[in-house]
Amino acid sequence: MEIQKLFDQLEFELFKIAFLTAFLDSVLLFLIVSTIFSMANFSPFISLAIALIFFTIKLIHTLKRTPLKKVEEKNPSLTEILRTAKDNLGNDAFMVKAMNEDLLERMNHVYMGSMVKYKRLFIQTLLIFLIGFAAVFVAAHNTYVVDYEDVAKSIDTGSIGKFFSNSINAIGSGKIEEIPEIIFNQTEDIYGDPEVAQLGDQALNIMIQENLNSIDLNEEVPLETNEFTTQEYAYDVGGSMDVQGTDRLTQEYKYINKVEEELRRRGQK
Amino acid sequence: MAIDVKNISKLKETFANVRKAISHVIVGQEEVVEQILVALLCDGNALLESLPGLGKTLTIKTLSKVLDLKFARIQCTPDLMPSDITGTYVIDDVKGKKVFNFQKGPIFANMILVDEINRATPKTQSALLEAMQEKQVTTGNETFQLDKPFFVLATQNPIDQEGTYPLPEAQTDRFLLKIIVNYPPIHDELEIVNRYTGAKQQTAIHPLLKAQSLVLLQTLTKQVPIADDLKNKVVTLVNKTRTNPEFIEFGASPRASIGLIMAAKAHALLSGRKFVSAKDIEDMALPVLRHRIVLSFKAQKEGMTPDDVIKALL
Repeated sequence: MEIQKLFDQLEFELFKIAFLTAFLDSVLLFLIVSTIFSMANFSPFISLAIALIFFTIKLIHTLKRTPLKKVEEKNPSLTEILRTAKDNLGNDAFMVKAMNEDLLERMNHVYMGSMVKYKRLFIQTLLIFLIGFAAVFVAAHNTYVVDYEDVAKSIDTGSIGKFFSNSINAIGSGKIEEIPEIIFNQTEDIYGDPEVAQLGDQALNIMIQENLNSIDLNEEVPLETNEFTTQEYAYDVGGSMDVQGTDRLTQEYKYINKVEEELRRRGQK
Repeated sequence: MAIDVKNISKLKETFANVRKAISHVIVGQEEVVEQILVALLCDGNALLESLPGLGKTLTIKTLSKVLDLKFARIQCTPDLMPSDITGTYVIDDVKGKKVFNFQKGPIFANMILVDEINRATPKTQSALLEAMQEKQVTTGNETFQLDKPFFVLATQNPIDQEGTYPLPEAQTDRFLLKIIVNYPPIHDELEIVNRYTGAKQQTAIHPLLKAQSLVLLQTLTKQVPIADDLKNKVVTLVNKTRTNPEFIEFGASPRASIGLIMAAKAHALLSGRKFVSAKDIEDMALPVLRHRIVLSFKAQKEGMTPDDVIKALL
């Protein structure tokens, strides 16, 4: 049936217009996203995936938003007759046939290009050209604003930071390592993990001057005598707690306790 | 008149000639003539509300001549009996034998003008309305089919309501359209005066269509296509008359939806279009719906008319 062919052709034309619109928008998006991502050293396949998803959604959305009423708005000679013919497809009544004949006659003078927004098309093409040029420029000069791997590695906030930075480095390098185990010093060597403090294998020559440190117990010296006057004797002797001294004492006391506990623990072992 | 798919556009010319022929006799009243033609094409009937002396009889008589249809006029009075409308058996002498012959009443015509229907008794009104609905008359054991096309134009006088039997809403619902005839404007009245007080002879009316052509046009009217969204628009509009209790006490029935779509199709055909447009529905909404709704007390108190309410719904 001619009228059925007409509507099939019309749907195909609308599909072509929707495809072109969605394609150009997707290309534009791809160029923008890939230019930005290339400055951060991301893979171009991510940009492609985003563009493909956008293309699919845009195509479906444009097709749904272009019903026959929009075609009629752009072509006043088809007002109401197009929708009526579509709703009466398959109806063999005399008046419907007469209407279809009329519609076929009117469609000969309809230009589907009226559905295309030429101004928008021009702007899109211009933008694609400019952004494409920018993308080629960035890629050719290997320009990096920031390498996301470096950003990940620079994170260091104690053990937790180390934990995450290791993970991020692992993700950045493409492999994920196991969380490093915290090793406690189980030896009697109180100087810590020998692997951490590596002094090197150079021989050290330590010279000690004995005369600076010698003590003669047999040496006698006259006793020192001092006259004590009553004024020099303290009547009241008291002591006051120095706050700073108390804090220092508390900290030192805590430290001593810790050492004692450690020694006790080793002794128990 | 032979109708082909290709020459269907000539229908517009035909209807234009009909309007032109009527305008030779009737001055102005184009909208009234248009609505009567719509009712004719829809195979429906019309209720005409008009003050006396506005050319109702002349309009329908002229139209019947142009369309080559049999015309009959029934003047309703309180003593009018149903048999005065439908016909009765009379004793006839055939070859010396007395036989009962059915004498057909004025209803056996194509176009009937029922003047002041609200003056007839409910019994007589029912007989007429039954004939309008069934397109047949039953007398005794016999049923007589009415001629096609069959069209009734019933009139009501909006004044002089004393001693009348107003048609109930259930009966007015059977009329496709309610046409309101207003006084003509001054320039039209001058033309009327010039035509009917001068010595000039009236132009003779020649038939432009045959009865069979009109039946064919009625078939074509039913076939005029309409878009689905316009059908939804009609049904939604009629439904709104039932869901507006502030101004409408009783809304229109589904018969109104059928009537409005049919009237829109006829209006499209008269306009030379082969499909229904939104404007057809807007133009036909008032005559189709105005007699099918009952206004609420609040609307009546505010002085609103059914037309005002329908315009608000549109």
